[in-house]
Amino acid sequence: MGSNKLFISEGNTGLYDLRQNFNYKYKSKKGLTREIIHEISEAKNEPQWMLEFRLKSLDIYNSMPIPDWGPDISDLDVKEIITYIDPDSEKKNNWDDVPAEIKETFDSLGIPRAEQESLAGVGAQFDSEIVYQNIRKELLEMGVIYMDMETALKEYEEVIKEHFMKLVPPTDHKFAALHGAVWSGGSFVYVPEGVKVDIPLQSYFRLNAPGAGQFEHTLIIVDKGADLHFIEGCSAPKYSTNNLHAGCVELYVREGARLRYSTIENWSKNMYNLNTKRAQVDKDGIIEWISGSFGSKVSMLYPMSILQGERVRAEFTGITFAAEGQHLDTGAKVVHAAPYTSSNVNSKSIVKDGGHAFYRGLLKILSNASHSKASVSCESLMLDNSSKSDTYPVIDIKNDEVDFGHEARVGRISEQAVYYLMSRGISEEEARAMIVRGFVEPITKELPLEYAVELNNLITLELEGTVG
Amino acid sequence: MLLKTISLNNQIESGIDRDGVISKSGALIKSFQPGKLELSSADLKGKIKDEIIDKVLETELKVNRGYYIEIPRGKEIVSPIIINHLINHNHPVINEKNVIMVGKDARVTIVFDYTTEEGLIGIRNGVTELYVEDRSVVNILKLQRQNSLSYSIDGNYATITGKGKVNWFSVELGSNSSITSYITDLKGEGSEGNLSSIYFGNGKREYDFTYTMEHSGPHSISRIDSRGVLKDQAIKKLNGKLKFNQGAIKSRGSESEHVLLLDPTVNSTVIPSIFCEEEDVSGHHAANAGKIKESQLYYLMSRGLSLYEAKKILVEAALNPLIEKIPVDYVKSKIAGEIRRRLET
Repeated sequence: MGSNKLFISEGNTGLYDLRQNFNYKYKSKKGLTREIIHEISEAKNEPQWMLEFRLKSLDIYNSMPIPDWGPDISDLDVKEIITYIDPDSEKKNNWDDVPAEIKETFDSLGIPRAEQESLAGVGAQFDSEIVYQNIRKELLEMGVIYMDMETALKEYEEVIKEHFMKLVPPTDHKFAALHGAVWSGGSFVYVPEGVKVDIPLQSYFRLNAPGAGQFEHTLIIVDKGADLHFIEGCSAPKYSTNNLHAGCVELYVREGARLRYSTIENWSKNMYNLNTKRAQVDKDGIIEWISGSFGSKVSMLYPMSILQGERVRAEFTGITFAAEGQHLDTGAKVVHAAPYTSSNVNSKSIVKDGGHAFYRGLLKILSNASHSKASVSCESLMLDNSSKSDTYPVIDIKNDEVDFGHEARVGRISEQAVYYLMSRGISEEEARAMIVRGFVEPITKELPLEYAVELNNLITLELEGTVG
Repeated sequence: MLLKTISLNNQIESGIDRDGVISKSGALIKSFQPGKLELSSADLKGKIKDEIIDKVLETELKVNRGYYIEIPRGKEIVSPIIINHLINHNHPVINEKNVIMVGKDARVTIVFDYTTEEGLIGIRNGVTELYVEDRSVVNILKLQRQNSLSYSIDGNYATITGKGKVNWFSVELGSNSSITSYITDLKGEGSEGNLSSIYFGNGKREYDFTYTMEHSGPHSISRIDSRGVLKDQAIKKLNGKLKFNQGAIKSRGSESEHVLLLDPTVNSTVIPSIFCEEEDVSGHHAANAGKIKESQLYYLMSRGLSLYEAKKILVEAALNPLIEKIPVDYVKSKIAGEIRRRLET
């Protein structure tokens, strides 16, 4: 009569939603070789310690398994990556190879042709080089350092050596190790004590550096009392035949400083976005994450904040939009490692056309984090019946002096709200779009105007054809 | 009080089939047929010491406790059926298998009360399966108050068809380590599953709870309400899962979890998860954790109450919303007594 089974695991064991029947198709056939790493390092003219670091990371990469939780990434092809990053490779992208949908999206978003080529990685850097140089002049006057990682490695070697992959070590997970071995491009930003940078810095300018966007490493140090807003990415889809993005972002927020890190990730829908972002915040510091995840086939993205000083505050506001063929596994991790810290995570997700959005969060309050306040809010909006929206927040509390609250909600667009708007003369399609834009508003209002506008356009684009 | 209930105390020790028909109430109660339980040790890995898993495996998982209970259609059994299991030195490891079948339009309340002989490391390994049909209402109350050396491994599964309703009451007070799951499959249209969970962890107790409400039927309703207290070095993990399968149109599921932390050395982990494949549903959960508010303690003490009395009132207040719902009085007083005892230290 029924099952005698003692404990139905339902594919979940322990804390991290481990999947029982993971299919290990993934094998590194040709494999990344030490020779290729040597070549990369030589081509960049790197110091010996960086070459050794890369080689050690390669060893770690080869010894680690792929994660047995989360989306299926067994289709990932490392060979493709090797051909891309190999400096000897003759591979060059061609405008004709860029898929039609990408070109259409560019047109719909009103992006000029030359810029389109830049985004598609097929053209020379468009105008942004000039813009970039001008910004640099202004910043230099303030004492702010903003340059690409390769140059920073030469000009600020000691600083880079002290911080590079210390927050996200290569041992963190397999793709952190891969990053350590093949990283290329990215930005280094240093804001001196007390300096408030009033224009947002945008990584968009550096899109065309070799390997740019694929394995870029972003290192930002905001010194005591300083203030910076950094924006990564742009809302236009970035296309590449290389389908892996394993970037790394390390943020150091010193005492009393504030850093706002905004990202709009809209990789093309063939991409595996396995990015790692982590911030370490000292006493009285503030870290704010604004995150929009739109593109890519598979995403595993969990920006993490380590609150290691008293009275640190962390805010995370994120939106994930998963449409057809997309499996976006995103979330936020917050670790309260000091007393009187506070955090607020506000995550929203939208799914449609068979998309799968999975919120995977971690909130850890350590035993010394007394008098902390933490709140997490997850809202999921389902636009049709063929999609999936899951929420899996893990909350681990080891101190009694906490004030913690969590709330999660899943549902569809309220019929009443749609009806109300229609009764005011708005079409059903527009009514739904308005409601979705309203749902996303907490994120768009935190972004500079041009990004907010682009984001709204993107949503309208995504919603086209979704009526009931 | 007990005279009015139907009590079955450890009646079946050797697993021999014996028909027991309690004709007055109309419930059919038989001792369970001897057989074996499956133990998936992979699932318990990390949750419980290997020595304990080994001790259980030594019994070859032969069922030595449990009942087959059948409530015929239309039968309303007014008095609760109370089943006491005292784990004693004759059988320090019990493999308990219960199957409860409730026909249409029936009502029943069944209480399982688990205790252990003083000083004995008792291990209870149990599976309870519940099948509820159209328009029936079933209350299952499990009171776990095994001694602090013992282990409790309990899997509870309910399948509800039609507009059946199950109210689970889980009261976890005892054992050194308790790994419990309540998984409810809301298959029927309009089916309803409610789980009220109360727990008090103190000393070095470890609690690991998995509560799943799976919605398959349209218009199904679920509610998980958990309130607990943690003291000393107690550890608790709670995985509350709300699942909406495609087709569970217009279902509503909600979950709320509150835990009161009485010492800085406790560890509370909660995973309030939602898995949703159906757009026309409403799923909601809320979780919070905190200590007794200083201001409330101070207020009560300023009214002349001792620290102990003030704490007791506030702890009881935290748990009362669920204690009140318990349909069997003697259980309520047992809980109140335990709270008092544990706050005294």
